[in-house]
Amino acid sequence: MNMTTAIEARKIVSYSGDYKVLKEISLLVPERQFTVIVGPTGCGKSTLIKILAGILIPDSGELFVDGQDYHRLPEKRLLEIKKKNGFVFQDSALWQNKSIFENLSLPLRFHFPELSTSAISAKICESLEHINLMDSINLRPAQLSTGEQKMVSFMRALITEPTLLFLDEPTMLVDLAMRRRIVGILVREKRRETTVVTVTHDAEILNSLADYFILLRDGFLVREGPAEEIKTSADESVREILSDSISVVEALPSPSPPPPPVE
Amino acid sequence: MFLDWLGSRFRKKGRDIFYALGFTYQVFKETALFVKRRQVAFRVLIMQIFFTGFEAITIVSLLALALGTIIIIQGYSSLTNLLGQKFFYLMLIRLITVELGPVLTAFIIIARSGTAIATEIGHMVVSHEIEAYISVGINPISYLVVPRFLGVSISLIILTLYFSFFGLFASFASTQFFVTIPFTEYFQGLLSVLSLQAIISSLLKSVIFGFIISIVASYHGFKVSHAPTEIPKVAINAVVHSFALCIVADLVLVLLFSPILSV
Amino acid sequence: MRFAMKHADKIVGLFVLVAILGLVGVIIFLGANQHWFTRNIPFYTVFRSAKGLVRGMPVTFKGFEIGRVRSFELDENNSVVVEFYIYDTYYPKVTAQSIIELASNPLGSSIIFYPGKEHTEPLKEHSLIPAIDSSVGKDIVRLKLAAIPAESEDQISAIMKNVDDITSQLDALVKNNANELDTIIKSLSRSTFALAQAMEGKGSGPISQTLVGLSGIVKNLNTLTTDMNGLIPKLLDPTGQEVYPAIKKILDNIQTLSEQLRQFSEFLNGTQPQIAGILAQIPDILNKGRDVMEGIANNPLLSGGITKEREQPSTFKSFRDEAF
Repeated sequence: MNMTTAIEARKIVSYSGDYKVLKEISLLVPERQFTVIVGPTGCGKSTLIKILAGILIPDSGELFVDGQDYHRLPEKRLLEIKKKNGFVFQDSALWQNKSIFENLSLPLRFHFPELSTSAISAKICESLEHINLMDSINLRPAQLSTGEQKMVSFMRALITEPTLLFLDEPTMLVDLAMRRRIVGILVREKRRETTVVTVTHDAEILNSLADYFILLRDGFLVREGPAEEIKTSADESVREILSDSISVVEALPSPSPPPPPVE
Repeated sequence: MFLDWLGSRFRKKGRDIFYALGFTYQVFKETALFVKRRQVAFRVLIMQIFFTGFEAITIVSLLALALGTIIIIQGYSSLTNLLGQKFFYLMLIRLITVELGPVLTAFIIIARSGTAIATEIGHMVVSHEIEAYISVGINPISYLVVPRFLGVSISLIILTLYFSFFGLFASFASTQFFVTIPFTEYFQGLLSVLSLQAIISSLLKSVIFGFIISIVASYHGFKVSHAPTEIPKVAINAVVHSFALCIVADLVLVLLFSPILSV
Repeated sequence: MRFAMKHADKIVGLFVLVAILGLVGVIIFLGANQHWFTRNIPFYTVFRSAKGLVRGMPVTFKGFEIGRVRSFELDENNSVVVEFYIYDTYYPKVTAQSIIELASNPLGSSIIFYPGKEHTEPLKEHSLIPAIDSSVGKDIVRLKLAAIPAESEDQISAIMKNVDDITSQLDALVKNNANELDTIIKSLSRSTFALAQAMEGKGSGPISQTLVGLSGIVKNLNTLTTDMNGLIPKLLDPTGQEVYPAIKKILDNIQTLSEQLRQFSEFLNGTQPQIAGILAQIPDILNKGRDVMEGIANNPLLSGGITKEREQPSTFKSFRDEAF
């Protein structure tokens, strides 16, 4: 297995007010692998994935993307990286004052100003048809159900065809049919060898898709490593985190855990 | 104990001011880049002028017409008898164009758009829409704040101009109750006392008020961290701080301009 | 609202455009009004004193503003060098032998320009236009090379301006109190007419009666004095030495008085209008006099020293009463 590093984090510390959420976390995210961040709720997973995606700035520590110090990059270089990134938020975070069409067209227009209006429209129609939401193209996000918003959020992240995809709880707040569709998308992305980093409790994703595990507890990194190694680990704390964090989804839609205190 | 409290308060205030100055610097920097970039945010600017400027024209013109009439009815006889025609026109220019025009227009904009901007941005923070912009690579300051900053400032200039036009026209109309003077004579009278400095001072005031309102409102909007309950608080703060800063700025400008304006 | 949102671009464009056009329009009018677009041709002159000079003060010619003072400063010879400019349109007036005058008066100063009489090419930029009181200026005035009006235009114009102001103020006053003034003036003219008549002895008012009475008294006195040995003189003065000369003197005085009175009445006849003005002031003067008297009366050193007079109805009033 090819193990080039996509992202490297060094001694990441992050505070929320006076509360230290992440306590000197250093880790590697391998390229073209499906990386899952696992841990009990409130352990700082969402903060970590946002820091890895460059959305939040850590209070101290360094972040290297493609071997470059991310927070010291010139803006132009930063935009090149962002162009290849996609991020799906836990709560969709669609832009409420824009229509579905505008939500999807903004990243395209921003990163590909050379695209014609018709090309953009065609691309948006294609992705909306993929998730059966063509009728909603001119609606506002608030007019859609939570699950539909999540799908649009997925499409917004994927529409620029990223090579690095961040997913914060991708299968949360959706029904089983949609979950199946999302898993289908993830399988496709894995096949395309997109680098995926995801926070999840979803057993199916953990069992069948994950290549690489990052285990967190209370703001500390417990362990990171390839899936086989982690799954077969005899370490007590690893076993505990895995058993505590995986939700049973075969029978029920994934229950929504209360959001961690820090976002 | 008390000293500790006082000290920490001062430190916090100092940090806030430092942060606000940094924020202001960012806004100015991004504004300078705005024209160069010809970004997707141009549409946002148009809409901001539409909401802040055009939609406020009714209330601004109503206020100006009423004020122009009130000044004449309350002051016509004493203004002309005591001071003569020249000072009558001078007072009109001073009151309507230089002083009340920018200030009252700014107050209207604070009440209308200051609150709107603070709550809208506050809501965007809570629903992670800001993070969504960052994830796509769009700088929220250049995409959200700069159009509002430019929009509010441009709108305020334009509205101040309308305020002057309407206010001076209302003065002319209500002067007809006392003496019949042809419009050309009235216009000539105004021109004889109007100076370029008065126009510049009026426009400069409105630009600075626009800067203050938009920056204060968006700054407070971004101050929301997690909870929707913070939004009304930041809206109040935005209004109060905008009021206070506008009046102080007006005072400073009056002190700066009074030597030039004195005829 | 949907319509407005759809056409937001156009609406915003129009909204901004109208305001900017308005502003530009006002600025253009303002510029035309304040001579921004005319080229200003600079000149300088030398005055003895900067008294009354103000930056931006207009330079006038026959009452037109033809330029403005740019700056002035004291040079090493202690004379005041004044930089000023003439508007483009008036530049051809600035011919050779033009002079300039700084006319100060209590109402304010003005700079007056007098062009040379000869129609030459206009002077070059930055050249000297001599002041009227400089030696060159005096020569020009003496040789009548500059077009200076016979009378110093300034004083007259200043007075005229002053008069103008006063009349305009008076006008406002008259407008506000037209009715009262009208009645006052009417009654004044009647009063003066009555006074004149009284003076001529035609009237039946107090003065004519007095005059008639006076002549009666004189007659009586005459008869009295002719009979020097009569009863009354003896009663008054048994010796006959003191009273007669005294009475004679009084009579002489009365005669001159009445002569003067006659002359005065003739004068009055000729000067009716002036009297009206004087009469109008009389109440004021009387009031002031009364104040002085009151002051004296209240003075502890003098109090009691002066007999208090009973206030008398003014002639003005009594005449008016009679005329009606």
